[in-house]
Amino acid sequence: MSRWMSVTALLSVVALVAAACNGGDTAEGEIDPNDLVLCVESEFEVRGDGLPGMEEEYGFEFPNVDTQDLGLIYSNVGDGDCTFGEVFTSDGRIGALDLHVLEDDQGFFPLYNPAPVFREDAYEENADELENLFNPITEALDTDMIIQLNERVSADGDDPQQVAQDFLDEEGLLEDVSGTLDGADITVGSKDFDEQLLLGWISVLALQEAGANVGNEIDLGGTVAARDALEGGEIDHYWEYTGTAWIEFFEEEDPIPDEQEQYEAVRDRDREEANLVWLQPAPFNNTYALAMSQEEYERLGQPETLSDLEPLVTEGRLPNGEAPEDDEGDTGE
Amino acid sequence: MSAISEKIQASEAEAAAEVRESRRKVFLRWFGTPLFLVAAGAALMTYAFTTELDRTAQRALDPERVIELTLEHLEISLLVALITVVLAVPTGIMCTRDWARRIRPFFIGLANIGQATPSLGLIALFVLTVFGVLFRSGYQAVVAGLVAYTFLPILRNTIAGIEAVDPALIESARGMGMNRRELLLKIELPLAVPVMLAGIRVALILAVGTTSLVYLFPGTTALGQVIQQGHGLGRTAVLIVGAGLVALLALLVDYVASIVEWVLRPRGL
Repeated sequence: MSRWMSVTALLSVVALVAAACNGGDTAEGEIDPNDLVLCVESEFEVRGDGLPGMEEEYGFEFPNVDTQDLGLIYSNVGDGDCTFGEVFTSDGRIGALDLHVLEDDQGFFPLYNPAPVFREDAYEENADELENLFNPITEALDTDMIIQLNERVSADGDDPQQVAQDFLDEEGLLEDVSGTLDGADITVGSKDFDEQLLLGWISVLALQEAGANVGNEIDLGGTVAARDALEGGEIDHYWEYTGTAWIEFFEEEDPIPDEQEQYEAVRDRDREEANLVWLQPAPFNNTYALAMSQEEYERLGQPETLSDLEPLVTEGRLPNGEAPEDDEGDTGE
Repeated sequence: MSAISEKIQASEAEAAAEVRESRRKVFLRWFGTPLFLVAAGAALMTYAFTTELDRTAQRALDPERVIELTLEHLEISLLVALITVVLAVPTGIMCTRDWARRIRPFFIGLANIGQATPSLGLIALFVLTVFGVLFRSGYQAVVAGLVAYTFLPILRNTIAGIEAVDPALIESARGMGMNRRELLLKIELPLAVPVMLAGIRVALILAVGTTSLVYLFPGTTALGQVIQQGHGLGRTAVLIVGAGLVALLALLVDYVASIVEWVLRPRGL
């Protein structure tokens, strides 16, 4: 019996060791491009406006790509398990985990600036009042601001309604609006993720402060659900992203690389084809980006842009031209 | 007289028919499943490559990539099955020993929890929580989670197989002077093999199916990725090929296991 057990124990050890043996060791101070893991969602891996297009645009490929759930990517980039990770530029976890976002210097990723979108009939009744109410709000929503607000919702677990209220109060955006929309009936919708809940609440609170009777349909579901509700008249307004309209609603293959031009193209087309009015967009852009932790950023020679990654992931060379630390030239095997 | 010879002829014909029948069964056993798998695989490939695919779908179904994912899927499932067999069979044997009667509910309970927990949650538990620090890589943690998920069928069938051995046989073996070890190795285990193998087949199929989920976790990829890409990007052909390949892989693995089962099945003592 004891011999039987020891044979079994031996076999299990062998199996576990076999499982453990993937990946070799590199000499200290040397960078093996294969150790630089890029973590992406499975969709990003094959989307034309994701990894394949990015690699084509920048002219190099990442040797080690690992797909995982988006939620895991942020924390794995934060603790260095992923060297680079696919993130969304306005996500609150970028601030919470102090991630370094690499600049898309070739302007490859589509632009996704959010703007308040209204049904034409709801807009026409109070056009000037709505412009006066919303334009200062959208102007205040730059990248730093939205990351800070998103961080309170996504990382700290604060109520989006409270965060929206604090934003409007602290920025003094509701000071002269009282009574401007008395008697107007406006139903507000939103998609179902944190940033959209926040934007939806900003609309609801601002419209209420201006005296409108506000219907609250925040948290409708995905993009398609929100768009259908707007076109069908169940809601009068929600925040949509310029790139989403261009690529998903109009099914355009090539994004427009200029924020203002893309906004104008979407605005004009949606007005004409769907009787929807786009107010001016916010300065922040919620698009794809690659990010890394501050430790990895320092270790890998402070790459600032996606182009800076080329020497790293192709040859293991640091982007600032210096040789990796401790590299004697002959430490390799 | 003639009546008798007719009867003999009839029974000969019956016997011949039986031989033919059993030959047909043997043929089906050995070749039926592979023929089906080849036909289904060919149909799947024809579908994939005759459907008009846009560039996104072509990237998702790049043959080199799909083969790589299939191999990794197979590797993970087989590793999981191997480790589970190595751990669960001895645990099952231990649970049937007299000295272990007391701790047996503990092991069965643990395996029950493993099976009852949703597989996704179980893998996440191993990857994300305190268990994670026990493992050096995401790959190991994922494999451990899958082992926990597939543990029960093998454990349960090992116990059931050994307990189903006729007590009279055990009595007579004892009477012949066998000690406990001989009893286990010569009587209990050989007789329990068919039931144990049935459990292993269930575990294998579970492993192949559940491995689809590992693309969500760091350090691992598998065919589930193709399914998710087809679903997430609205490319039905990609979705069908991914799901079809997982199903074919499960059937293939089950077929190989059925051959092993047939070879190892004791043919009388």
